Amino acid sequence: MGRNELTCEQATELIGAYLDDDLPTETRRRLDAHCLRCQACAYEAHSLRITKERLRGDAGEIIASDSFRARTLRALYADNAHVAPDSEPVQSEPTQYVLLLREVL
Amino acid sequence: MPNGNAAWEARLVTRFKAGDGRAMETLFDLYADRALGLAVRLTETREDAEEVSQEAFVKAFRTARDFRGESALSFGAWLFAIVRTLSADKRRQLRLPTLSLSAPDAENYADRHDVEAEAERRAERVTLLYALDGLPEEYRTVLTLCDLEDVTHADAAPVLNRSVGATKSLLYRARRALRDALKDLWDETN
Repeated sequence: MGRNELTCEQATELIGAYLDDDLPTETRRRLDAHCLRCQACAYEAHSLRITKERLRGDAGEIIASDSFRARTLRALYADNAHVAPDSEPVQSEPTQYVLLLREVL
Repeated sequence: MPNGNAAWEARLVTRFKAGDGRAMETLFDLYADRALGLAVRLTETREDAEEVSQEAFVKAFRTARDFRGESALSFGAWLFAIVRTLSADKRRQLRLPTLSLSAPDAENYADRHDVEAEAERRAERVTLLYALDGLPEEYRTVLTLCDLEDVTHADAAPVLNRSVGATKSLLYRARRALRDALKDLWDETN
Protein backbone atom coordinates (compact mmCIF):
# COMPACT_ATOMS: atom_id res chain seq x y z
CA MET A 1 0.00 0.00 0.00
CA GLY A 2 1.40 3.41 -0.98
CA ARG A 3 1.99 6.17 1.51
CA ASN A 4 -1.08 8.13 0.34
CA GLU A 5 -3.39 5.17 0.08
CA LEU A 6 -6.24 4.99 2.55
CA THR A 7 -6.94 2.06 4.81
CA CYS A 8 -10.51 0.71 4.96
CA GLU A 9 -10.88 2.26 8.40
CA GLN A 10 -9.87 5.68 7.08
CA ALA A 11 -12.12 5.29 4.05
CA THR A 12 -15.11 4.42 6.22
CA GLU A 13 -14.49 7.55 8.27
CA LEU A 14 -14.75 9.64 5.10
CA ILE A 15 -17.86 8.13 3.55
CA GLY A 16 -20.29 10.29 5.53
CA ALA A 17 -18.62 13.48 4.29
CA TYR A 18 -18.45 11.98 0.81
CA LEU A 19 -22.22 11.47 0.83
CA ASP A 20 -22.68 15.12 1.80
CA ASP A 21 -20.27 16.28 -0.94
CA ASP A 22 -18.20 17.70 1.86
CA LEU A 23 -14.78 16.29 1.00
CA PRO A 24 -11.84 18.32 -0.33
CA THR A 25 -11.02 17.34 -3.91
CA GLU A 26 -7.77 15.58 -3.05
CA THR A 27 -9.34 13.57 -0.23
CA ARG A 28 -12.21 12.58 -2.46
CA ARG A 29 -9.75 11.45 -5.11
CA ARG A 30 -8.00 9.25 -2.54
CA LEU A 31 -11.33 7.77 -1.45
CA ASP A 32 -12.27 7.09 -5.08
CA ALA A 33 -8.90 5.40 -5.60
CA HIS A 34 -9.44 3.25 -2.51
CA CYS A 35 -12.92 2.23 -3.67
CA LEU A 36 -11.47 1.11 -7.01
CA ARG A 37 -9.32 -1.38 -5.09
CA CYS A 38 -11.74 -2.33 -2.29
CA GLN A 39 -15.11 -3.86 -3.11
CA ALA A 40 -16.40 -3.62 0.46
CA CYS A 41 -15.79 0.13 0.74
CA ALA A 42 -17.09 0.68 -2.80
CA TYR A 43 -20.29 -1.12 -1.83
CA GLU A 44 -20.57 0.92 1.36
CA ALA A 45 -20.18 4.25 -0.41
CA HIS A 46 -22.31 3.38 -3.42
CA SER A 47 -25.15 1.73 -1.52
CA LEU A 48 -25.39 4.63 0.94
CA ARG A 49 -25.34 7.14 -1.92
CA ILE A 50 -28.24 5.28 -3.57
CA THR A 51 -30.10 5.09 -0.23
CA LYS A 52 -29.78 8.83 0.25
CA GLU A 53 -30.94 9.55 -3.29
CA ARG A 54 -33.83 7.16 -2.91
CA LEU A 55 -34.87 8.79 0.34
CA ARG A 56 -34.90 12.19 -1.31
CA GLY A 57 -36.70 10.90 -4.38
CA ASP A 58 -39.32 8.65 -2.83
CA ALA A 59 -40.18 10.12 0.54
CA GLY A 60 -42.17 12.91 -1.07
CA GLU A 61 -42.11 16.58 -0.32
CA ILE A 62 -44.46 17.72 2.40
CA ILE A 63 -46.28 20.92 1.51
CA ALA A 64 -48.26 22.81 4.12
CA SER A 65 -51.83 23.35 2.95
CA ASP A 66 -53.40 26.79 2.70
CA SER A 67 -55.83 25.88 5.48
CA PHE A 68 -52.96 24.84 7.78
CA ARG A 69 -51.14 28.08 7.02
CA ALA A 70 -54.20 30.22 7.66
CA ARG A 71 -55.10 28.36 10.86
CA THR A 72 -51.58 28.59 12.25
CA LEU A 73 -51.17 32.26 11.40
CA ARG A 74 -54.48 33.00 13.15
CA ALA A 75 -53.18 31.17 16.22
CA LEU A 76 -49.90 33.10 16.06
CA TYR A 77 -51.61 36.48 15.85
CA ALA A 78 -53.93 35.49 18.70
CA ASP A 79 -50.95 34.51 20.86
CA ASN A 80 -48.88 37.57 20.00
CA ALA A 81 -50.99 40.58 20.75
CA HIS A 82 -47.98 42.86 20.33
CA VAL A 83 -47.73 42.02 16.64
CA ALA A 84 -49.59 44.10 14.10
CA PRO A 85 -51.16 42.06 11.30
CA ASP A 86 -49.35 42.16 8.00
CA SER A 87 -51.34 45.03 6.44
CA GLU A 88 -51.94 46.05 2.89
CA PRO A 89 -49.63 48.79 1.61
CA VAL A 90 -50.74 52.11 3.01
CA GLN A 91 -52.63 54.23 0.50
CA SER A 92 -50.92 57.54 0.06
CA GLU A 93 -52.77 60.75 -0.48
CA PRO A 94 -53.64 61.26 -4.15
CA THR A 95 -51.15 63.42 -5.96
CA GLN A 96 -52.12 66.48 -7.95
CA TYR A 97 -51.62 64.38 -11.09
CA VAL A 98 -54.09 61.73 -9.88
CA LEU A 99 -56.64 64.40 -8.92
CA LEU A 100 -56.29 65.93 -12.36
CA LEU A 101 -56.79 62.51 -14.02
CA ARG A 102 -59.93 61.93 -11.96
CA GLU A 103 -61.37 65.21 -13.20
CA VAL A 104 -60.55 64.38 -16.80
CA LEU A 105 -62.00 60.85 -16.56
CA MET B 1 -33.17 28.86 3.74
CA PRO B 2 -31.84 25.32 3.71
CA ASN B 3 -28.26 26.12 4.65
CA GLY B 4 -29.09 28.87 7.03
CA ASN B 5 -28.78 32.60 6.92
CA ALA B 6 -28.43 33.12 10.63
CA ALA B 7 -28.01 36.90 10.56
CA TRP B 8 -31.10 37.42 8.43
CA GLU B 9 -33.12 35.05 10.59
CA ALA B 10 -31.94 36.86 13.74
CA ARG B 11 -33.08 40.17 12.24
CA LEU B 12 -36.50 38.69 11.50
CA VAL B 13 -36.77 37.53 15.12
CA THR B 14 -35.80 41.01 16.34
CA ARG B 15 -38.41 42.61 14.09
CA PHE B 16 -41.05 40.11 15.27
CA LYS B 17 -40.24 40.97 18.90
CA ALA B 18 -40.73 44.63 18.01
CA GLY B 19 -44.22 43.83 16.69
CA ASP B 20 -43.62 43.37 12.96
CA GLY B 21 -46.25 40.98 11.62
CA ARG B 22 -44.55 40.68 8.25
CA ALA B 23 -41.39 39.38 9.95
CA MET B 24 -43.46 36.80 11.85
CA GLU B 25 -45.13 35.64 8.65
CA THR B 26 -41.79 35.45 6.81
CA LEU B 27 -40.35 33.25 9.56
CA PHE B 28 -43.47 31.10 9.45
CA ASP B 29 -43.23 30.75 5.66
CA LEU B 30 -39.55 29.80 5.93
CA TYR B 31 -40.28 26.89 8.19
CA ALA B 32 -43.91 25.85 7.55
CA ASP B 33 -43.14 23.03 5.09
CA ARG B 34 -40.07 21.74 6.92
CA ALA B 35 -41.64 21.76 10.38
CA LEU B 36 -44.68 19.97 9.01
CA GLY B 37 -42.40 17.58 7.09
CA LEU B 38 -40.63 16.59 10.29
CA ALA B 39 -43.92 16.23 12.19
CA VAL B 40 -45.43 14.07 9.44
CA ARG B 41 -42.52 11.63 9.80
CA LEU B 42 -42.62 11.58 13.56
CA THR B 43 -46.37 11.26 14.14
CA GLU B 44 -49.01 8.87 12.93
CA THR B 45 -51.39 10.96 10.89
CA ARG B 46 -51.39 14.18 8.92
CA GLU B 47 -53.92 15.56 11.37
CA ASP B 48 -51.55 14.88 14.28
CA ALA B 49 -48.69 16.41 12.34
CA GLU B 50 -50.60 19.63 11.66
CA GLU B 51 -51.68 19.87 15.27
CA VAL B 52 -48.11 19.33 16.48
CA SER B 53 -46.71 21.83 13.99
CA GLN B 54 -49.20 24.53 14.89
CA GLU B 55 -48.50 24.11 18.59
CA ALA B 56 -44.76 24.09 17.93
CA PHE B 57 -44.95 27.37 16.02
CA VAL B 58 -46.92 29.00 18.83
CA LYS B 59 -44.38 27.80 21.40
CA ALA B 60 -41.35 28.74 19.28
CA PHE B 61 -42.62 32.29 18.72
CA ARG B 62 -43.53 32.54 22.41
CA THR B 63 -39.98 31.49 23.30
CA ALA B 64 -38.49 33.99 20.83
CA ARG B 65 -40.77 36.75 22.17
CA ASP B 66 -39.97 36.14 25.82
CA PHE B 67 -36.28 35.34 25.46
CA ARG B 68 -33.93 38.05 26.68
CA GLY B 69 -30.42 38.32 25.26
CA GLU B 70 -28.75 36.33 22.53
CA SER B 71 -29.94 32.79 22.05
CA ALA B 72 -27.35 30.19 21.15
CA LEU B 73 -30.00 28.43 19.09
CA SER B 74 -31.51 29.62 15.84
CA PHE B 75 -35.28 29.99 15.56
CA GLY B 76 -35.32 26.90 13.34
CA ALA B 77 -33.42 24.79 15.85
CA TRP B 78 -35.86 25.81 18.59
CA LEU B 79 -38.79 25.02 16.34
CA PHE B 80 -37.52 21.60 15.23
CA ALA B 81 -36.67 20.65 18.83
CA ILE B 82 -40.22 21.55 19.90
CA VAL B 83 -41.70 19.61 16.96
CA ARG B 84 -39.66 16.61 18.01
CA THR B 85 -40.76 16.81 21.64
CA LEU B 86 -44.43 17.31 20.81
CA SER B 87 -44.34 14.50 18.24
CA ALA B 88 -42.91 12.12 20.83
CA ASP B 89 -45.80 13.06 23.11
CA LYS B 90 -48.30 12.51 20.32
CA ARG B 91 -47.00 9.29 18.90
CA ARG B 92 -48.19 6.31 20.89
CA GLN B 93 -47.19 3.45 18.67
CA LEU B 94 -45.52 2.84 15.35
CA ARG B 95 -47.89 2.68 12.45
CA LEU B 96 -47.60 3.09 8.72
CA PRO B 97 -48.00 6.80 7.96
CA THR B 98 -50.90 6.25 5.61
CA LEU B 99 -51.36 9.88 4.69
CA SER B 100 -47.73 10.16 3.68
CA LEU B 101 -48.32 7.52 1.08
CA SER B 102 -50.65 9.58 -1.05
CA ALA B 103 -49.17 11.00 -4.21
CA PRO B 104 -48.13 14.63 -3.89
CA ASP B 105 -50.15 15.65 -6.90
CA ALA B 106 -53.43 14.16 -8.05
CA GLU B 107 -52.45 13.80 -11.70
CA ASN B 108 -54.42 11.89 -14.27
CA TYR B 109 -52.57 9.24 -16.17
CA ALA B 110 -54.08 8.53 -19.53
CA ASP B 111 -52.44 5.41 -20.85
CA ARG B 112 -51.71 2.05 -19.34
CA HIS B 113 -47.94 2.48 -19.45
CA ASP B 114 -48.14 5.53 -17.25
CA VAL B 115 -50.47 3.76 -14.84
CA GLU B 116 -48.06 0.85 -14.48
CA ALA B 117 -45.09 3.14 -14.05
CA GLU B 118 -46.98 5.08 -11.43
CA ALA B 119 -47.94 1.86 -9.62
CA GLU B 120 -44.31 0.78 -9.56
CA ARG B 121 -43.14 4.18 -8.35
CA ARG B 122 -45.82 4.15 -5.67
CA ALA B 123 -44.81 0.65 -4.53
CA GLU B 124 -41.21 1.81 -4.20
CA ARG B 125 -42.38 4.80 -2.25
CA VAL B 126 -44.45 2.61 0.09
CA THR B 127 -41.41 0.40 0.68
CA LEU B 128 -39.22 3.39 1.43
CA LEU B 129 -41.72 4.88 3.86
CA TYR B 130 -42.30 1.52 5.50
CA ALA B 131 -38.54 1.13 6.02
CA LEU B 132 -38.23 4.69 7.30
CA ASP B 133 -41.14 4.23 9.66
CA GLY B 134 -39.53 1.17 11.21
CA LEU B 135 -36.37 3.02 12.22
CA PRO B 136 -35.75 4.37 15.73
CA GLU B 137 -37.11 7.87 16.29
CA GLU B 138 -33.71 9.56 16.38
CA TYR B 139 -32.77 7.97 13.04
CA ARG B 140 -35.99 9.23 11.46
CA THR B 141 -35.37 12.66 12.93
CA VAL B 142 -31.82 13.01 11.66
CA LEU B 143 -32.69 11.62 8.22
CA THR B 144 -35.67 13.94 7.91
CA LEU B 145 -33.74 17.00 9.03
CA CYS B 146 -30.48 16.46 7.16
CA ASP B 147 -31.42 14.44 4.08
CA LEU B 148 -34.97 15.60 3.40
CA GLU B 149 -35.21 19.11 4.77
CA ASP B 150 -31.60 20.17 4.11
CA VAL B 151 -31.02 21.36 7.65
CA THR B 152 -27.27 21.74 8.32
CA HIS B 153 -25.48 19.42 10.76
CA ALA B 154 -24.88 22.44 13.00
CA ASP B 155 -28.60 23.29 13.12
CA ALA B 156 -29.67 19.66 13.53
CA ALA B 157 -27.25 19.05 16.42
CA PRO B 158 -29.18 20.95 19.13
CA VAL B 159 -32.45 19.36 18.00
CA LEU B 160 -30.87 15.98 18.65
CA ASN B 161 -29.07 17.08 21.83
CA ARG B 162 -25.74 16.12 20.30
CA SER B 163 -22.53 17.72 19.16
CA VAL B 164 -22.06 18.36 15.45
CA GLY B 165 -19.63 15.44 15.23
CA ALA B 166 -22.03 13.11 17.01
CA THR B 167 -24.83 14.27 14.71
CA LYS B 168 -22.75 13.31 11.67
CA SER B 169 -22.10 9.89 13.20
CA LEU B 170 -25.79 9.45 13.95
CA LEU B 171 -26.67 10.39 10.37
CA TYR B 172 -24.19 7.83 9.05
CA ARG B 173 -25.68 5.10 11.24
CA ALA B 174 -29.20 6.14 10.25
CA ARG B 175 -28.38 5.91 6.54
CA ARG B 176 -26.90 2.45 7.05
CA ALA B 177 -29.96 1.36 9.03
CA LEU B 178 -32.27 2.61 6.28
CA ARG B 179 -30.20 0.85 3.61
CA ASP B 180 -30.30 -2.42 5.56
CA ALA B 181 -34.04 -2.09 6.21
CA LEU B 182 -34.68 -1.53 2.49
CA LYS B 183 -32.52 -4.55 1.66
CA ASP B 184 -34.45 -6.72 4.14
CA LEU B 185 -37.77 -5.61 2.65
CA TRP B 186 -36.44 -6.29 -0.85
CA ASP B 187 -35.28 -9.78 0.20
CA GLU B 188 -38.68 -10.52 1.78
CA THR B 189 -40.59 -9.67 -1.37
CA ASN B 190 -38.25 -11.24 -3.94
